Amino acid sequence: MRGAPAGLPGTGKPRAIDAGGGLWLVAADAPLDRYGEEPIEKGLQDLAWVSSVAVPHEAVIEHLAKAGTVVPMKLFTLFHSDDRALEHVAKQRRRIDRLVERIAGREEWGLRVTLDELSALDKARDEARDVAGRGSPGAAFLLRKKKEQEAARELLQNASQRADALFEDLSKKSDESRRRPPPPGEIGKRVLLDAAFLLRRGKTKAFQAAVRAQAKKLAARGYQLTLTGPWPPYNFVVDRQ
Amino acid sequence: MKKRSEAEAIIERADASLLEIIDHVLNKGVMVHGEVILGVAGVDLIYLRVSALLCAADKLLPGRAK
Repeated sequence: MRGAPAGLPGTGKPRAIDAGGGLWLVAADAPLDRYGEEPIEKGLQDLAWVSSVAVPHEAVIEHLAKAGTVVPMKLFTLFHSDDRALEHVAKQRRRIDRLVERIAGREEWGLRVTLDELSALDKARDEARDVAGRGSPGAAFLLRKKKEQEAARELLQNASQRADALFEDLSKKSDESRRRPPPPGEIGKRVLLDAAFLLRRGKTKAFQAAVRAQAKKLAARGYQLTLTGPWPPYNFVVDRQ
Repeated sequence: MKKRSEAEAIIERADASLLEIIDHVLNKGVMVHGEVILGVAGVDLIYLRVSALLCAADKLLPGRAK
């Protein structure tokens, strides 16, 4: 553990606990007056506090990931004692061993797709108008109104289909993928897709290129794709819900 | 932060924002093993808030966390 980051504020230095068979737990002692139920509940209301513990947590994991395969624990994974932690790991050992095999040499990439609904709606209406532009003025007007309404209705349906197709396509290019329930977006910016992909380290170029190509294609229709990574495989260590 | 052109806007490399980190490490799944010493009532709340902010993360936090 030499050279490891200091860990969360107020905790002891991260230490390695031998769980046998080449598996080590990395843990730090967390004083209950700072990391008990009440202080955490209170802290969770405060983004600045959450940041102050999230960043060091991530730093320790990233540091360890340089040296081997890490099964990243979520923030505030707390055990009563080292023995309890070892007991838990022993109980879950088969699952953990399988997990280590699945994620070894791999990293997680996150993709979020948002739709600017207002501009997409404008564009859809424009297209509808062009289609309806022919014929007598009266008929064209009615047709245009109808087309505009249809366009608006179809927009969201198309959007979710596009997101599904994109997820499916990128899933094929990854070792594993997970889709999370989309978080609420800003007003007028709908989050259509919040997904994580597990990729072999050093083999991410093709995946990135695929995302870039899709992003270019979809940008004209008001979609924005944001790819982040590499991450420790946080979304792949929990069982599929 | 560099100005993002349309094509560049797509991929943010390892320079993830602070909120992305929170989203990953917290990610709704705060787990407590052994003894249950932590209720998780506040977690959904903070997760929702973080998720909402994530979409606007770059605007809120132009500085990078790493």
